[in-house]
Amino acid sequence: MNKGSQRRQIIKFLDRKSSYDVDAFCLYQWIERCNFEQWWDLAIELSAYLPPNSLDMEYDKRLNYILKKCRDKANEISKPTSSIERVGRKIYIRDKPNLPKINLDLTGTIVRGFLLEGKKYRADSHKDVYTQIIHIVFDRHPEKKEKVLALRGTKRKYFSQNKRELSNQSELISGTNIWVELNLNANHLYKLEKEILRIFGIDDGSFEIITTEAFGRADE
Amino acid sequence: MNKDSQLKLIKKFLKGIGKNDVDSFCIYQWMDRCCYEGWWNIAIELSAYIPPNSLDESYHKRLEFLLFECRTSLKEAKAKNSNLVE
Repeated sequence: MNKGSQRRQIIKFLDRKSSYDVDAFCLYQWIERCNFEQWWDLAIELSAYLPPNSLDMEYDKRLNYILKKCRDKANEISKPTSSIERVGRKIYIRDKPNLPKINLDLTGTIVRGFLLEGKKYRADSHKDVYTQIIHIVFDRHPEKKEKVLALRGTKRKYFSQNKRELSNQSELISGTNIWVELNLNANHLYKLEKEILRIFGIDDGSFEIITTEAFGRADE
Repeated sequence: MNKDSQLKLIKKFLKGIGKNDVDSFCIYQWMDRCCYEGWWNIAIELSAYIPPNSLDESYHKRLEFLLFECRTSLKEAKAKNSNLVE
């Protein structure tokens, strides 16, 4: 069990995709991992599943301390910080939202989810975002599914009905006979996600990946 | 994940299965579980797998505390057993 696999377990649990037999101590352990890795939102979400007085008093105290820290940190992040700029006699106060969510270079970022048309979706990797986007557009416009087959690079295809035309890291899109190439880097996947949204007539401006930097911490 | 499934994972790990996928924080969590459930000797065994300075200072302190608790409890349990035998 490591950081990545534990995060996946937590997200599956929160999405109720898995029927893990999770006890109170395990929830405490997950919350502690979230605190350690600075996944504040996940820690707060998990706390709702902990029945009161389900742990020893000592552990209960520790848990409350950790949760308080997570709540404080989560509030810090969500608070908008404003920048003050003076131009001559005028003073401009501009709101700039703090971490997370910047879609510049996505390399080395940890995905927390994505926003599409104002709705927040949870995801744990760039590939997860990519496959979710594909499922969303396919669900909305099943008649246009085959349009994605036109998407291709200069040397290789991104979608195919023949698995052999793609790499070993391709996946069959459920409910279709279309395979999707997943052997792509984060920035490339993001570009394709935008393109897919455009093809299916969905406003790609409303699409945003929520990330945190993998290296370096917010309070450093 | 519950008490039993975690014990299975820990035993597997101590047998040398799937060692590469386990990070220091996970071993710390397992030690915490062992301490909570009263598996003192397993916690002590696990402590050997945490490389020095692989966690934050605060977690290393907590780890030392947990180990101290486990060692003390184990000693107490052994003393009780020997008294019973006598």
